Amino acid sequence: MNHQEIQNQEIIERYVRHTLPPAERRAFEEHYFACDECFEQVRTTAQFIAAVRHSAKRGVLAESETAAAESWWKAWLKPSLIFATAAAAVLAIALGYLFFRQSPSPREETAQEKEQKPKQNDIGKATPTPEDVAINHPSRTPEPINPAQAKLPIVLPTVLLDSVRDARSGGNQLTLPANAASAKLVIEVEPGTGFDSFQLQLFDVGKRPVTSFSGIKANAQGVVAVNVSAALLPNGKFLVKLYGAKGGERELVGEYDLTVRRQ
Amino acid sequence: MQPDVEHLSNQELVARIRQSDAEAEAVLYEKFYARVYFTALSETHSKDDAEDIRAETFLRVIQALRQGKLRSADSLPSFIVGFTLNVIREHIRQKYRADSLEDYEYDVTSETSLESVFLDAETSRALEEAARQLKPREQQFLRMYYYDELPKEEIARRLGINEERVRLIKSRTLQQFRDIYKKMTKP
Repeated sequence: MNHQEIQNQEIIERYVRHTLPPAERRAFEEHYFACDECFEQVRTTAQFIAAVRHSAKRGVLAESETAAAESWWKAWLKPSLIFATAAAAVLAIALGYLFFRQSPSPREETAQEKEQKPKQNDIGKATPTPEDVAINHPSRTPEPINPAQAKLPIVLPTVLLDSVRDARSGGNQLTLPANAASAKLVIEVEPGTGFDSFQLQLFDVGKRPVTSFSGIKANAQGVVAVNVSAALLPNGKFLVKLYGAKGGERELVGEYDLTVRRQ
Repeated sequence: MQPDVEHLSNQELVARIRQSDAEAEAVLYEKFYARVYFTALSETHSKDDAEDIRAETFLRVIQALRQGKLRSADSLPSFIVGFTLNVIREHIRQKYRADSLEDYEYDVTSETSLESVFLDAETSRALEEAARQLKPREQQFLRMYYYDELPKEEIARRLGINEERVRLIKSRTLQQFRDIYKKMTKP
């Protein structure tokens, strides 16, 4: 690997963004272990990309609002999208109704949690720790409330995940409004699968684990749902894996792609 | 440390480490520790894990060099890369008790984002200041490309320019950013 190839193929940036194939990744690592110039560049590029994302999150970078609005309207005008959007809206309303109707009150939920705690960690763990609860239920972790944010309406975007095999063209899309604190991922599983509980794992585009939930129970209609903190869902593609657990063993139920777009 | 030791070639370094020369070992560490740490940080997104991996990698590399396991000193960088990647894999497997890298359960909280591992508070402020000095269109480009992760053709359409121009803006902005950042962080 020489400097010309590195520049022409944008190797440094692709390395930092984890989009290089493994063989090229290894070749570039061998190169920058021997090359001060490339190591300095890969380090500053990592800082640069991290800083750009950080600045964009904090609203420091200018946003092209007119272009975004124009593209949004153009997308809406496409007939195929109108049909898909209408279908998704009907499904979201139906699922929303299902969940609101079935969701226990916070008091009932707390009581249920107390009852279920000893059973929840049936995947390789004997007893749940406070860390388990924080990791498995990020939305339930107490967080300091910013007075400015407290006045914003609570938004809980929801996406119904189709498996990779069954996914329609375009895959599963989740649009996250700027004020969303978390998003609900919903998966339909066949009722009566015989699993005691489910485990859901979320990976980023580089197959890097983002978060994991254990001890999830499906409801009577065979719907599994988890709330994922919006902080863990930047723009981009993700992979979701759902496992069923029974008697200390687990089995892959399905894989689901997910594309997140933040507004 | 003697000045001449600091400028040893890889051949001399390897030869001296084989004779258990502590100064040569320190030079080897100085020369490669940042690379090992950066590689570990890129893979694990955890500063604590990266520290552990760095320490373990150098223990193994120096032990292997003392035992004369490196055939050609020209391959020293590749040799260290190999150890680094092995230690990273072992570390992840041991920590999360999984069988393969693709299937391990890795509880990453929101605190371990890319931003938090590659930026400290001071650097972050300096870089935000640098971003403010860019033109609005360059800022829009950066946002669309690195944050919204839009494809280049879509960015070109939104900014009303062709794709070749997008590539030019990207390389120029990155260079400009590096220059501003260097000036701001110069002691």
